[in-house]
Amino acid sequence: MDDSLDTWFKREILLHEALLLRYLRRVWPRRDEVQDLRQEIYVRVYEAARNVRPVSPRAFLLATARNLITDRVRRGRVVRIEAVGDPDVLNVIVDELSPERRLSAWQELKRVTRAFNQLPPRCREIVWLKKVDDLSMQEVADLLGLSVRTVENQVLKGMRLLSDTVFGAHPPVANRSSDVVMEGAEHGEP
Amino acid sequence: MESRRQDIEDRATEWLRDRERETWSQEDEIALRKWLDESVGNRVAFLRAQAAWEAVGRLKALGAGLPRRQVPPPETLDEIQLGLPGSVPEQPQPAPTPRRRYRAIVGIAASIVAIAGLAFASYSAWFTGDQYATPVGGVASLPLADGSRMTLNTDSRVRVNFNEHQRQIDLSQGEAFFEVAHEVERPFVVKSAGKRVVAVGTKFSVRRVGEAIQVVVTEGRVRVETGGDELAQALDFSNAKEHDQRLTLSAGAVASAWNNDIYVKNHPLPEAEEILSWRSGFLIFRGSRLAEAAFEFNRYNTRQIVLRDPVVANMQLTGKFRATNVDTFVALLEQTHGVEVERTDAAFVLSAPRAMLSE
Repeated sequence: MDDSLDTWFKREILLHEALLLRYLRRVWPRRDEVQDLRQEIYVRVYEAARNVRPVSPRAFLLATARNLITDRVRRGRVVRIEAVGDPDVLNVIVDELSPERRLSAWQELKRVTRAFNQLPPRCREIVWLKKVDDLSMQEVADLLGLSVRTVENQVLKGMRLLSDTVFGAHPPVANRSSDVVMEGAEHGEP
Repeated sequence: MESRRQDIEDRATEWLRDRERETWSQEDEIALRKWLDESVGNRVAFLRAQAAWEAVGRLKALGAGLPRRQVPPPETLDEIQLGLPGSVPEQPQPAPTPRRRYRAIVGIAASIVAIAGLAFASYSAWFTGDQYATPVGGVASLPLADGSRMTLNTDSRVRVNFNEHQRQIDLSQGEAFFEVAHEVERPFVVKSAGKRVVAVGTKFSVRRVGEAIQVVVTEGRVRVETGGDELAQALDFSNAKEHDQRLTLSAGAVASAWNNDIYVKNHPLPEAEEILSWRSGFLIFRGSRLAEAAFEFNRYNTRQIVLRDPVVANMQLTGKFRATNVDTFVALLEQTHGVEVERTDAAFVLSAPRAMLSE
């Protein structure tokens, strides 16, 4: 049990989830597998950091992602190698050349607020009372005239949504289902 | 279908929720620790959910001046934020230290040099050697001065530059197949995307896709070399020592090189030959996803196939098709697989059969 490693992971790695997902969506043709890859990459990063903490967590995270994709390609899974050569990926890596930028406290707060504001109204209300006003499940239930069970379910729902949106969220997308999933168009040659 | 990852993340948030209960006990905490120690997958999933939940606690900074037990509407939170210090655009960023600024400039300078280098390479290409290009849908085969033969695929562009020491081909775009005349003292070199493919006497193809190349060898041996390229060096962030990879391929090999990584898969020769069936104008698929097939067809046709949903993109197909006959291909999908087709002048927009979507 290494609490400092846990803290490091939360502070230095999760912060870059949006970037990681953007990278994965560009190089991996199967959208439905992107979150699974993200989890696998986190496992690898965490395990590696047990021995040595990387100097640049962000670069290390991206390098781990790249290696994982490489392994998958070597194993001859469905991915097209062309996807790995997607020129857009270079943008992500070029970005890496710029000096490490940390989010200011204000930017972090803004990010959390955006994720919080996107919660469904009831869920948002309950999360606020629980987490900001520090009420117990029972107190929230009494205040809103709900059963404890309902409150607990809403808290669970909020936690689930927030774990995807606080770190992994991109600026709101109009309609996810309208995304055209088309490798040919996205990874086309210039 | 829920993935194992999804199960783990669901379990992780349940632990987190349970921990918010007043009844949470020492035994519960021990059970949680045990679950976390079971696998790193469990642990990172929990940390991720916990970090997001803890982050919400930062909203206390916004709620400080508000009445308790009243949840502010979204606009209120946004307004409070605008009034917070640091939110004014002019607010000074921490000034970069001289070293940092220097590094940033070096980074930018490196990119400019790399881009200038590329621009120069393509510029000079217009002035030396013979240029050949094919239009979309075209395939052309032509003899070279040394007795070799070159077959250009759709939408491709090469420059041929032979001298007494070397036979050099620059493939700036597309794909080409080479049947190389044997000359030990004058290697045959194909350059593409900063990589070199070197042959003495052999048959192979090189395809460029963005900054990656794919090499298929059907006879003899060729060597793939990466590195020595400014762009690759400027972009590589992993390990500078990995430059200058060299790898020799033999017949049946299909290799892909991107930056300094080379991936090789060895196939039985007939399968490798099949990848090159474009030389006779055909595309062959074996259990390929429709997304891949569409990608290939789109190389040969200006009227593009567009896939509207993941279901249609993941449909599998096997068959041999004429590369330029996209109409027939689409009609076939429509009639035999029930794919929905919307035709415009520029595209065929394909959606999954209704029956598959309603499952």
